[in-house]
Amino acid sequence: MGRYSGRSFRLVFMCVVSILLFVMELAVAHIGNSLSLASDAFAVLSHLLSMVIGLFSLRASTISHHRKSTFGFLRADVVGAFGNSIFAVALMFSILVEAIKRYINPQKTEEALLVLLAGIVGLFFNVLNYVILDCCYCSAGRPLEDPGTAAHCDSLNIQHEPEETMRKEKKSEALNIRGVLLHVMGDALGSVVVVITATIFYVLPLGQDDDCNWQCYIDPSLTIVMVIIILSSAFPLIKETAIILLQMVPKGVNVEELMSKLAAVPDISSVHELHIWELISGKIIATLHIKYQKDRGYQDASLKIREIFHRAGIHSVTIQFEAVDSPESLEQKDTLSLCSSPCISKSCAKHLCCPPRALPVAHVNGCAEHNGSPRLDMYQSQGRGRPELSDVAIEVSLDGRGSDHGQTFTKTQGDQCYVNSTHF
Amino acid sequence: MGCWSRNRGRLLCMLLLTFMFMVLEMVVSQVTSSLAMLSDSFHMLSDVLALVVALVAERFAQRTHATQKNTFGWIRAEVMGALVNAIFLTGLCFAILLEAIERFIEPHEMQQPLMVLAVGVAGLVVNVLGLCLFHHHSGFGNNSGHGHSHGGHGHTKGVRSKSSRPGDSDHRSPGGQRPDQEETNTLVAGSSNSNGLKLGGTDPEKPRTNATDVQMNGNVIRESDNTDLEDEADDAQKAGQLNMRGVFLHVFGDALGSVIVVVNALVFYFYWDSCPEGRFCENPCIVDPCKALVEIINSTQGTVFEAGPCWVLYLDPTLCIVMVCILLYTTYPLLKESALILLQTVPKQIDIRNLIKELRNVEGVEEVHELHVWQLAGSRIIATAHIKCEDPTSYMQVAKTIKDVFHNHGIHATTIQPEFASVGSKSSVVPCELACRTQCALKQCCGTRPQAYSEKDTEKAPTVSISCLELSENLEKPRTQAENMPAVVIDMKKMPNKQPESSL
Repeated sequence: MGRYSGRSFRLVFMCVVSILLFVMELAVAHIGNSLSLASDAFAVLSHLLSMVIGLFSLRASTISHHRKSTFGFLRADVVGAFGNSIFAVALMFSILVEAIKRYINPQKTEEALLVLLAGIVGLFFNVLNYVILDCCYCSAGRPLEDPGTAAHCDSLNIQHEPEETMRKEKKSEALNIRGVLLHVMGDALGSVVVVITATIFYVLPLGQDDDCNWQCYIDPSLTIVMVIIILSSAFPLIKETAIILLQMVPKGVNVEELMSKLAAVPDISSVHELHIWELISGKIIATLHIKYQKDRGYQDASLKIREIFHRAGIHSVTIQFEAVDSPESLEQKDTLSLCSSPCISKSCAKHLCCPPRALPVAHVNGCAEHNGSPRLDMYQSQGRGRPELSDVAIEVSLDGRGSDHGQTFTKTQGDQCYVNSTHF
Repeated sequence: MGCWSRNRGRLLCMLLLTFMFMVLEMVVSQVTSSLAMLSDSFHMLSDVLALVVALVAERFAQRTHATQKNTFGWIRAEVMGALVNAIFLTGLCFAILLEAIERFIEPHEMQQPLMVLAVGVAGLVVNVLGLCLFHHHSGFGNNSGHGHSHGGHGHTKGVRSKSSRPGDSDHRSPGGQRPDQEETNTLVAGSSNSNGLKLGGTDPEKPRTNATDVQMNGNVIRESDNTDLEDEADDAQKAGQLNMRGVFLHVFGDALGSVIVVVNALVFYFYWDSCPEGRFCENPCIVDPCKALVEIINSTQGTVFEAGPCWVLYLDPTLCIVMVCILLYTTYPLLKESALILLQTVPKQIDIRNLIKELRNVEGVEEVHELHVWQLAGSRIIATAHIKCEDPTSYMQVAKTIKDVFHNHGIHATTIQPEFASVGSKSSVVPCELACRTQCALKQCCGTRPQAYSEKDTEKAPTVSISCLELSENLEKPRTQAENMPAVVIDMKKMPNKQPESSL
C-alpha cells in the first residue's frame, strides 16, 4: 500500500486523469462547437501544468546531494509552491478580466442542460482531486523520527524536539501540496459557479431574443467572488514561501536575543557577519565570524556558541574565528568590528554578500543609501592618526570597556540599519 | 533625481507610458465597442503589473545592507521579481493561446480595421520605445550576467597598488600572479605582511602594536577607489539584471503583440471584403445555421455577396500562436536561471570539483567538508566550508591560502570553520568534529550520509552512535585555554564506522 499512497504516485495519477479529461473535452468542444468547453479544457490544462510543477518539485526535493547544488534540491518544494501560487494568481487575473468583459458585455448561457452536466462532471473531478491529494495525505501520518536518540544525548529540552521536527516537516511538505491544491480549489470553485449559473438558466430559461436580465450578471459576480477567495488563500502561501526564498530570518528566531546571548559568552570580543537563514522550513543555517583574543583560545567559546544556537533551533552553524592578538589592540575599537579575514582585497568588497554600509563610493553617486560620510567624518574628528577605514562594519555597541567614540557611534548610527556586527 | 538609479527611472517612465496607453485603449474600445481592443488593453494592464512588480523588486533590492529581518539585505528580491515576471509571462502566454484557439473555433471579423490600425501603430511606438529603454538588459547580447569580470578589475587594481606602494612587503608575488596577496589581511602572527598600507601612500605603514595580526581590509588602497566607483555602479547594474531581463521580455512580448495587431489590421484592410451594409450576404467562413436559407435565396434572387477570403480570418490566431512560441522560447532561460538561483545551486561559472580539488591541495588541509557555494544575487556568491587541518598553529597561513583559492574562483564572502583532526584519524572520511548533537542530524542542512537516503524521506539520517557533543568535549578538554600549544589529543573515538561527511 505504501507504493500507492505516496504523494508522487497520487500526483502522477491525477496528472494522467487530467490529460484524459483535457483530450476528451477538447474533442467534444470541437465536435459540438462549444466555446465554454474549450475554455474549460484549458483550465484543466493549466491545472495539469500546476500538478506537473508540483510533481517535479516533489521529486527534486528528495535529492539532497547533487553535483550542481551543494544543498541538493531540497528547496524545490518551496520554489515549486511559489511558482504554483504565482501561476494561480496570473490565471485568476485573466479570469477576472473575462468576468469584467462579461459585465460590460453580458451573455446568456445557452444549452443550460449541457453546461450543467459539464459543470457537474468538472466538479466531481475536482472534488476527487482534492480528496486524493489532501485528505489521504492528512491521515497518513509521518513516521516518528528516531525517538531513540533522544535518550542518548544531553539534557537540554530534547523531549520536545521529535514532535517539533514532525510538525515542521509536515508544514514544509504541505507547502508544495498547498500550491497544487490552490489550483484545484480554483477549478472546483469555478465548477460550482458554472453549476449554479446553469441551474438558474435551466430553471428560468431566457429565450433567444430576450435581453439579458439580472441572470446574466450572476456568472461574473460569482466569478469575482471566486477570484477573491482564491487570492486570499494564495497570498499567505506566497508570503510564506517568499520568507524562505528571500533568505529572511525565519520566524521563530529572534536575532537580538541571540546576539545578547552571544555577548554573554566569555572570551569572545565581537561578532560580525552573522547570517541566519532557512533552507527549507525546519532547516535553519547560520554563519558568523567571531573575534577572539588570541591567547585565550576559542574552543570553549565555540562549544557555548553552538549550544546557544542549538537552543534557538539552529543546528547547522559555521563559525569563523578570527584572532585578535592582544588586549591592547582592543583599543582600536573599529578594528574589532571589522572582519580581519574577508576576501583578500578590497576590490572584492562589492562582491561580498552584504557589504558594510560605509563605503566611500557612495559619495560619488550622491546617494545616501550606502552612507559612508558621517562615519568617516567621525573618524577624522577623532584624530587618532589611525588609518582611515573604508570598510567599516556597521553598528557598534559597546560594553563598559568602550570609549566615548563608541557611544557616539551608536547614537548617530542608531537609526541606520541594523547591527550586523556587535562588539562586546 | 540623482539618488534614483537609472533602472528605476526607466521603469517609472515605461510604467507611465504603458498606463496612459492602456487608458487610451480602453476609451477607444468603449467608443468603437470593440472587444478586441478591450482585451488588448487588459494585456497592457498585465504589462503595467509586471512593471510594478519589477519596480518593487528593484526598490527592495537597493537595500543591500543587513536588517533585523533579513541578515542578507533584500538583494534577493530582484531574483524573485524576475521569477514572478517570468511566471506571469507564461500565464499570459497561456491565456493568449486560449484566445487563439477560441478564434480558430469561432473566427471573428475585425470591425473598423483603420481604427485598430491606428491604435496598433501607437502601441507599437510605445513598445519600441520601451525596447530601446531596456535593450541593453536584453540578455541576448554579451551581457555576461553574473560574471567573473571582477577578476580583471581586481587584479589590475592590485597591480597598480603594488607599484605605488613603497616596498615593504615580503610577500610580493612574482609576475602579478597574485597581486592581491599583499593586500590580504594577514592572519599570521608576526608576519611582516604589509597590509598596513593606507591611503595614497601617505602613511606607508600602519602603526603597529605588538600584534600584526589584526589588519583590516579597510586599509587597502585608497587610490583604487576611483575605479571602484565604476565597478560599484557596474555591479549594481549586474545585480539587477535578471529583474530587468524580465521587464524586457514583457515589453518584447507586448511589442510582438502590437506587430501582430498592425499586420492583421493591414491585411484586413486590404484583403477583406466585408459585407456591405443593407445587402444580403453570407459569410462562408463562419458556420451559419442560415446557410440553407441562403441557398434558397441564392436560387431566387440575383447575387449574394460573400464576405472576403477566409484565410484572412485565420491569420490572427496563427500569428498569435507563433508569438506565443517565441515568447515561451525566450522566457524559458530567464525562468530557469532565476529558479536555479532560488534553489541555492552552485552558480554556473563556478567549477566546484576544481574548487574542492584546489582546496584539498592546500598544504595543511586534510579534508574539506560541508562545502556550500551558492549565489545570493548578481555577482555575490557565498561559500561556507569546514576545513579539517592538522595543526592549529599554522592555521592562519592555511586560512589565508584558502581565502585566496576562493577569491580566485570568484567567491568573496566566505566563512571557514577550522577543525583540527584528532591524532590517529587517518581516514579522510571522518564526521564533522563540531556538528550539533546527534538528534540534530535530521535538522542539519545537509545530513551526513549521501548514500543512505531513502526515496521518500530525506530527512531521516542514520543515527550517529555517540553524541557529537561528547566527541568534541573529548577533543577539547586537554586543550587548555590559556596556552597556544599545538593540540595533541588522544582521542577516544567510540564510533565504529566512519560516515562520509563530505557531500560531494
